[in-house]
Amino acid sequence: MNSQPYSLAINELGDNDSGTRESILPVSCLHYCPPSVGSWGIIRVGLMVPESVMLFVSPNGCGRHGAIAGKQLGFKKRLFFLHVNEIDLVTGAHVENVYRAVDEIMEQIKPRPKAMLICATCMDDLLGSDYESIAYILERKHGIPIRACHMDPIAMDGKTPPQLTIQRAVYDFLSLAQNKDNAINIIGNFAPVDSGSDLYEIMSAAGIDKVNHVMACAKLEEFYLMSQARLNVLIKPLGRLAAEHMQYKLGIPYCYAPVSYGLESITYNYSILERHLDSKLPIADYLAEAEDTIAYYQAELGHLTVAVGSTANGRPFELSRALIEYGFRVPYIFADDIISIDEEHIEWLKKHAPATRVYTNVHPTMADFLKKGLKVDLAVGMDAGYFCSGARTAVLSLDTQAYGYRAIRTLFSEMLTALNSSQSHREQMYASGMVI
Amino acid sequence: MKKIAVYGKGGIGKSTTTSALSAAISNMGYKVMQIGCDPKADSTINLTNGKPVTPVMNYLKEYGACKSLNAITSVGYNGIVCAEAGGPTPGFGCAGRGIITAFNVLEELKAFEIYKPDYVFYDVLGDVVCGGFAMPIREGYADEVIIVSSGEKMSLYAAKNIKTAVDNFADRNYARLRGMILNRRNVENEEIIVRKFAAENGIDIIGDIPRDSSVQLYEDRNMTAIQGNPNSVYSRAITGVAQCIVDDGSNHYEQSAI
Amino acid sequence: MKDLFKVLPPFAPDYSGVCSVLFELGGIVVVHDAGGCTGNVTGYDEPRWYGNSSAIYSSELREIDAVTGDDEKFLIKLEDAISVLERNFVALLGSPAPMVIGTHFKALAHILTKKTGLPVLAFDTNGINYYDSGSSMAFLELARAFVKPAMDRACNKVNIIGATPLDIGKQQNIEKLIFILNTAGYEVISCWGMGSTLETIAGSAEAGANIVVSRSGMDAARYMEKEYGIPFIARLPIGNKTTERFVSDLDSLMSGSKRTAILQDESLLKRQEKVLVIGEQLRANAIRDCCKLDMGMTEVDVASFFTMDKLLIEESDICLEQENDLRSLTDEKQYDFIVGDPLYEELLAEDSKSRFIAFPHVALSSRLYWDDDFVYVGRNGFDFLQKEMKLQDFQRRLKSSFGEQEKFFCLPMFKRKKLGSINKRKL
Repeated sequence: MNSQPYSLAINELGDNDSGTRESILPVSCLHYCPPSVGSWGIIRVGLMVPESVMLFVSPNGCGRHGAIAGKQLGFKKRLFFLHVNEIDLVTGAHVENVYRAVDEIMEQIKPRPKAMLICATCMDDLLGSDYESIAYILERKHGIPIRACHMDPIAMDGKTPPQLTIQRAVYDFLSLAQNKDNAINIIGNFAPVDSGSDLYEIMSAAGIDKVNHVMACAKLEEFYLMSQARLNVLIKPLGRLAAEHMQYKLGIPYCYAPVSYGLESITYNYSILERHLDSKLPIADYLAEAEDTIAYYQAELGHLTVAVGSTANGRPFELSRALIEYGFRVPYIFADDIISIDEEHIEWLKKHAPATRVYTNVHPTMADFLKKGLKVDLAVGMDAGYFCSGARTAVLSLDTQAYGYRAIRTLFSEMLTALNSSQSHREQMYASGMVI
Repeated sequence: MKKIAVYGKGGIGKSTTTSALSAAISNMGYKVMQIGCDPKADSTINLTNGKPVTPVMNYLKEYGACKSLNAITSVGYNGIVCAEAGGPTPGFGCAGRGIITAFNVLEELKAFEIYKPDYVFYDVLGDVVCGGFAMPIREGYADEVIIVSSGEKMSLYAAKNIKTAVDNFADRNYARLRGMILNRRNVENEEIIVRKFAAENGIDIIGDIPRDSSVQLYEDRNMTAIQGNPNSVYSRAITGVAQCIVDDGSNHYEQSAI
Repeated sequence: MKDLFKVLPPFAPDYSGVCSVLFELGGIVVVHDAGGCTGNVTGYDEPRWYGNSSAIYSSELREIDAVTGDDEKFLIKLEDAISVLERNFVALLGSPAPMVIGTHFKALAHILTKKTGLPVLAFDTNGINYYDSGSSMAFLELARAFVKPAMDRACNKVNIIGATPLDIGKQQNIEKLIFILNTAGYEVISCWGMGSTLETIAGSAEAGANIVVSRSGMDAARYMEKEYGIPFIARLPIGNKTTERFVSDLDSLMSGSKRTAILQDESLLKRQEKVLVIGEQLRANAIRDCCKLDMGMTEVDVASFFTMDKLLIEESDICLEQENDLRSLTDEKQYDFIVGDPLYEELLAEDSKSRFIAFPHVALSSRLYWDDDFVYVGRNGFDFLQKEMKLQDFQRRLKSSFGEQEKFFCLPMFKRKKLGSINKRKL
């Protein structure tokens, strides 16, 4: 029962004729769902809104992964489920039930929720139910901000896929600020930038008073202050709709400076910030420090063979390029999509590492992949660690956020920790609470 | 048991024709069941002397589940068992999907095993517009489809859509197309137009029902024309189609036309 | 409000039940969904998924295909996968989206069989119903589609039906059951749900009896009884005398005598404590039997959110529908011991919480406790329950002497171990 896993040479990527420009897969196919793919999940992202609760309206099964992850990671207490049965959905009765469910939550949950998200699913997309108007009515009734959001993977190929709309819903809780402050918001990701990051020092030197992140706000009121920021720095592509929405609704401009690990990319990000802040940023010392860090870890780690995956906190092609530039060998990359900013890195890889093979997580043949027994010294990303079984895995989790030049140090130190760690990949994976 | 789904453009006289066919076949001594598949739930109104049947969907909306067949069926003229699928709250839910739910309820309650009808008619709203409205022709439901159409352009257009849908479903083991009934609206050259359409599309015409003002008269009294006057020209035409259905295979209309 | 679940996570859904039954059988199992439902199965309902090559897929249904009813695209994806994967059957499963548009899986199966020659099973799952409805239909479908008539039936051969990790946990409990059966002179020719291939299941009609170990196996067992005349015993032996009784009842079943009900052991000292067992019906019944036969308890109720078979239900058993049911029940009946998945504990009446014995059920708590699986079949189950009950008695005595100050003592051993390792981050 063995099939050859689908893969492409790096040179075959981004080839318009074979239709592999945006997706690694040539045609639509059944999707394999390895244990190692996943992210924060819609529910967890929605609950980034401080002091909020979520009412999830769906057939029983839809919310299961989010709820179990919630139990595991501690946010289940803020999450409630309204189960929809067949009769409700064909008669539309479930929509009526939402009002009653919200009434009950507002009456019974202590402390009284300060904000609420009502999450609808694929089913309501197909029925055309209008949750936005329900949220509007309930908001007035209960006097707290209530927003509709959607966990609707059925809309994944459209213009408003759920991973993007959920972030828009989160920041839709902000309203137009009367005053502006001298702060920037980091958006698109799920954790404040690590406190040791050079970003803070560089921003401070440029006169920025504060670098905000929603996950650094313990209170709703604190979160509201993010609407006063002068710039949104989008560091992950999934925050794009949120950034556009905030520009439109709150008048906060945004720039895209995605998390990167290559020196050139990091320097380029700072140049983008320079442009948007209209201020020269003092980066030279940090660049020099990064070069020292690279030299130190090159000696420490040696010439490892590394497989790079898509679940790591980065972009697989940029990350692979950085690792190769730092002296490692990257024979395998696991990735499913190509975004336009990856293209220059793919071109670089074609030129400098033409032997690299690219596998997807999802092609049906991946079910038999483990029999292939790919071996590397180290994997970066949960998916790469799973498919190259036996390799130590640097998770580079989404739960913390490396940024700036010191992201390189974070990457290397995670690689070093992984090499010396005895934790199994399976344990690492189940502990992460990742949700597809 | 033979199950027949009657389709056609909205307002073309499907419910009138279906109810008349049910009445005519029951007059031949057969046990008949008619299931209305329209959110308006008025398919069987002229078989129950105006006493409305509680539509399955309405019952479910009210009570959540249905445990008794009696709650959602009614026995009307000549022992005809009547049921209506009904529909959701206007503006919510899904009417097509509701038909599937209603059919499942009738199946769970073993409607066919209990009433043991010889003939079942599904009177379906409009076209095969979505999965729900195709439900009556799925394997296990109707064996045959009959299209009701006049000579009007839009009616024939709908008829063609239905024919296409049935053809597309051929590899799924769904119902086959039995033929069409011309329900006259007194359009100019109506018979010629319809005959041409039928020939072009490979559809048999199994009945030609004249326009008859008495139909309206009897419907005002909540009865079918068959019940009102079984010997009228209209009723004789309907009875001819009924005979064709009962005789299975032989096409009385075509034979008489020849 | 009935359908509002504020505490419990959603139960494993029906498509997970089907996948669990088919997991080891070498088919291409496809959930017609947008991806999230399959993620439930593979990430949260299937402890065997990690490192396995079972071919479970999502059809990646998209809005435009759903709205336009484009089944053709689905069929092409299926044919493509069939052409590159060497598998022996296909199963098509529904999810909420195809339920809304009314996808007709039976018709798609018909087309696909015609095109590929492979057996194609169709399951009208919808994500609304719970896992047991799915595993029940999958076991029945295995019996209908694959079991071949046998020339002879051997009275020393048995099948185990209903063994999925969602109910049973890891294989160790089935291994223990097989050990008990082997010791009693029986050969287990197949175990439906774990440990058997499709070929061995196909040969199941050679067995002299079927042993049903979860409610989900009942329909298949009844079918096998009707179709092949194979009688069944629906019991999971947990405890000492229960295991002896299980073997002797199986012996009588093989020799053609009637099934016996579990009776009270009159020689045991009667215990007045009231026990509630929450969970899957057969395992809950097995714990009840152990409490009655091995420990002398007389009042043991079973309560379940999942379907309970009429044949196996006792008058005082409770079908749970909503979260409040459990609170009112424990409020009203004042049980001395409550056995169930750890996640039920939060729902119990306040003073019941100190009487809770954690017995994880994957269909509820998923990956949270599946690695803490322990052997409960046979004697071990009795040892476990006795130890936990003694511990609780001790804690209660301690509490009545020292008052409430040490809440730590009130946590059962099992949970104390686990909760520290999870539940550590803010979000």
